[in-house]
Amino acid sequence: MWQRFTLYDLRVIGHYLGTLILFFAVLMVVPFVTALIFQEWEPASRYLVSVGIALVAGCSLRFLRIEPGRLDRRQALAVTGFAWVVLALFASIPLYFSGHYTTYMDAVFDGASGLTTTGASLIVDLDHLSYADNMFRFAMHGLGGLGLIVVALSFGLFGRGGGASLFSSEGRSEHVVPNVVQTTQFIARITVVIVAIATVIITAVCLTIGMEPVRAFLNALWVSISGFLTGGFTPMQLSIMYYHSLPLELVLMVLMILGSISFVLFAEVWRGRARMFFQDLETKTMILWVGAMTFVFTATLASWPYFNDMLALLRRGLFMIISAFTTTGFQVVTTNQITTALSNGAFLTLAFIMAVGGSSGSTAGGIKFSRMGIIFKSIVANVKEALAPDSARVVVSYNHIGRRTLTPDVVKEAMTVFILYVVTYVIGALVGIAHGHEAIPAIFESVAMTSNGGIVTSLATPGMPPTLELFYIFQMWAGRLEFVTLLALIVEVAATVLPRRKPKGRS
Amino acid sequence: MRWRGEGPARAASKNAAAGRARGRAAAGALLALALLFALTAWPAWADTPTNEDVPTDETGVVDPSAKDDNDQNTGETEAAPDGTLPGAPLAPDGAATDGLPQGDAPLEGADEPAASEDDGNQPPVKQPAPKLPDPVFGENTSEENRVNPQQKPDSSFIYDTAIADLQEADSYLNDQTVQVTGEVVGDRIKAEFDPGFCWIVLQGDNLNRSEIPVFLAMEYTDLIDIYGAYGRKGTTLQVRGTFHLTCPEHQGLTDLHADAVSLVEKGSVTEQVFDIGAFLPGIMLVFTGLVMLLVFRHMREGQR
Repeated sequence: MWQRFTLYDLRVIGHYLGTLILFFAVLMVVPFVTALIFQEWEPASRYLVSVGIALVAGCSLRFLRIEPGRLDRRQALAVTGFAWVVLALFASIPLYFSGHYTTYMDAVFDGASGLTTTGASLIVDLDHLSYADNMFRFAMHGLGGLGLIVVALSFGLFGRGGGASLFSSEGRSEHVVPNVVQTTQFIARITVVIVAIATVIITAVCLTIGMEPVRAFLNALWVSISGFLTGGFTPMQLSIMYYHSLPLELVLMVLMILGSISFVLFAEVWRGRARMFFQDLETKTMILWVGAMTFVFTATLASWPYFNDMLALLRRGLFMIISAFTTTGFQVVTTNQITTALSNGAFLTLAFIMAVGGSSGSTAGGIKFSRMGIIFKSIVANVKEALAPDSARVVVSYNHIGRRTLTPDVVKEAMTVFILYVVTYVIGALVGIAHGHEAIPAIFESVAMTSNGGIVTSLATPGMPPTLELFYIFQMWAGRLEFVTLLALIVEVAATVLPRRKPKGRS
Repeated sequence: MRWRGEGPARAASKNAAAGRARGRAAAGALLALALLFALTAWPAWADTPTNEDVPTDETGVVDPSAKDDNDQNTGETEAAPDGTLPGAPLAPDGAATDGLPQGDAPLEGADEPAASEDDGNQPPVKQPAPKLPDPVFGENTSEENRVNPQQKPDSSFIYDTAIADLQEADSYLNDQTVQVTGEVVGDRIKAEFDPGFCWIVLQGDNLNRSEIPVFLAMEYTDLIDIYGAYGRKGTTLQVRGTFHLTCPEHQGLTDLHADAVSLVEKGSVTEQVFDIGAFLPGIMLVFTGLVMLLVFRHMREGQR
């Protein structure tokens, strides 16, 4: 029997959604101030209106429940699940009225892509976008990359109630420290430090290649945010190709890899336990998986007329592999090159790399290395059991933030999420094919959306069919929440909306 | 009647003199005709060669129909045999890439005698080619003018390509000479391993605003007055060069190596006008939101 939302539940959910919308209004002050600094008056007025709309809507929702109360797990799931869509809708208001979108749905798509750190963009004429609009796009990456709930909790927006429920509902289960709020503050602190260091380095690089100081700083800040939070938006339409700078690409590769590592492992290294990092199941899986995929990618490209020299492979191939497995979505080859100059094998290999993604507890998307490692360990356990005597009890253990024993529950969770990802990849590909596209680009695009990878080819283009666009938004949303929260929410909403079936035997 | 002593030789000499006189008359007449032709066909705007007099459309580009009319009569404005047009800057190695220097371009048929060659005994009369003033870059032209309006009509043997086509190029366009026109956007990025060269981005005017990175000599960027960005329309350039789907020099990048660059249109800046009226709806909404926030706080305090 599915539980329904009561009126009380809806009031509590509305109240907390209002709190998040108010927080989003504060976030929109950042582009507003940027517009004032650079005297971009039209964007300034647009963001002021957007702040006002968000303030009024947020306050109205908060009136649904005046007295503060604790969130239970179901309500927390609903708040987290709805927040990503509701905030994407609010984000679409200033984006759409910038005049850089063909349709309103394209602006919603970019709002969802920015918040879920997918990085796919349907914006038109990006190079003429105002600084304010760009600042907003990367502010969305910052908020979404850390996690709406993580940021809200670190600011203490939800008070003392429901922190743990909210934290886990956003696809996070690992705590740096036992206290949830302290964990979120640690994540925010690490991010600020790394982004600040990267900004300084990239600003210096941008100055040496001849950019104006202001543009150098802003570009450095934006690509640093996007790189570490594995977002994928770039301030220039040509993505990272625009800069023509090997040092910048190297810095971004390091940044993307750091972004795809669990924050918990950061904490371990911070505490001087670097050995733990190398013994971790995720690190081992990452090295094995990325090494194998790099070999396949290189082998398929080496026999192809393009990208077959060592320098091209090292500079373009390696960057694209890192961008794909960290699910960032930065590009150093054009979308046309992906479909024209890369072999089908290389094209599909990139899709597989994106599908698996980075580490759990990081900002990367995809199935995650930890789940792949656990599934592999489960296979090992099955083989051991098959070979062991009947009386023997097979125990398989692994390192993941300490020594752990493989239990059926862990395997079940990993398998469930793995299967949900694969099913969504397949359904997304079928939706793309049904819209008249080729199979391989349809598979690639579906994987890019669900894993929040963001490397797109030919399907996600401005003015794309709204049905395909809606499905891609759903995929980004589902992938960011790692399905369980979203499925629980869908079931709860369906149970609430659909009429209750009468028990048999009653007239 | 024959004069005494007037023999066949004298008669022949007389005939020859008459023939020379006829030849001179014919040559003079043809020269006069040629001059008349040249004078009547003189382009009206070439008399006072200032930029304002060049028949252009509203974007500042020469009206092609007007050019066609002029081309019928003036050989100097024709494209050079290699298809490039006069007035474009030099290539990085200092060679004249875009045809002959101004004023030295030979008129079609200028080395032929203006007189008829009916009379085989007459040496051909060498007429110096009339030195036509440069209609665009010649004397009396404003030195500030850098727009070459003559570049629009194009040679036929290079691909006059849209940037969108390059962005979606198949392998058949790889290593081809192409010519594209687009707005310069972003920044001038120094080429990391090639001192004296740099990168710019050209943006097409199609719906998706396709872009292509262009690798070119630093000198060419002198033509760029504005780099496109928010509120700024960048200089429009026409670039001829070699397109690489995967450039062997730049580790597989899709790019265009410029051989010749010319200015089509200067950039422009849109002034940002502060209009308080545009801020009023936002101010009212923010004020309403803040009042609601205060009311909410008051109500919550009242419940405690």
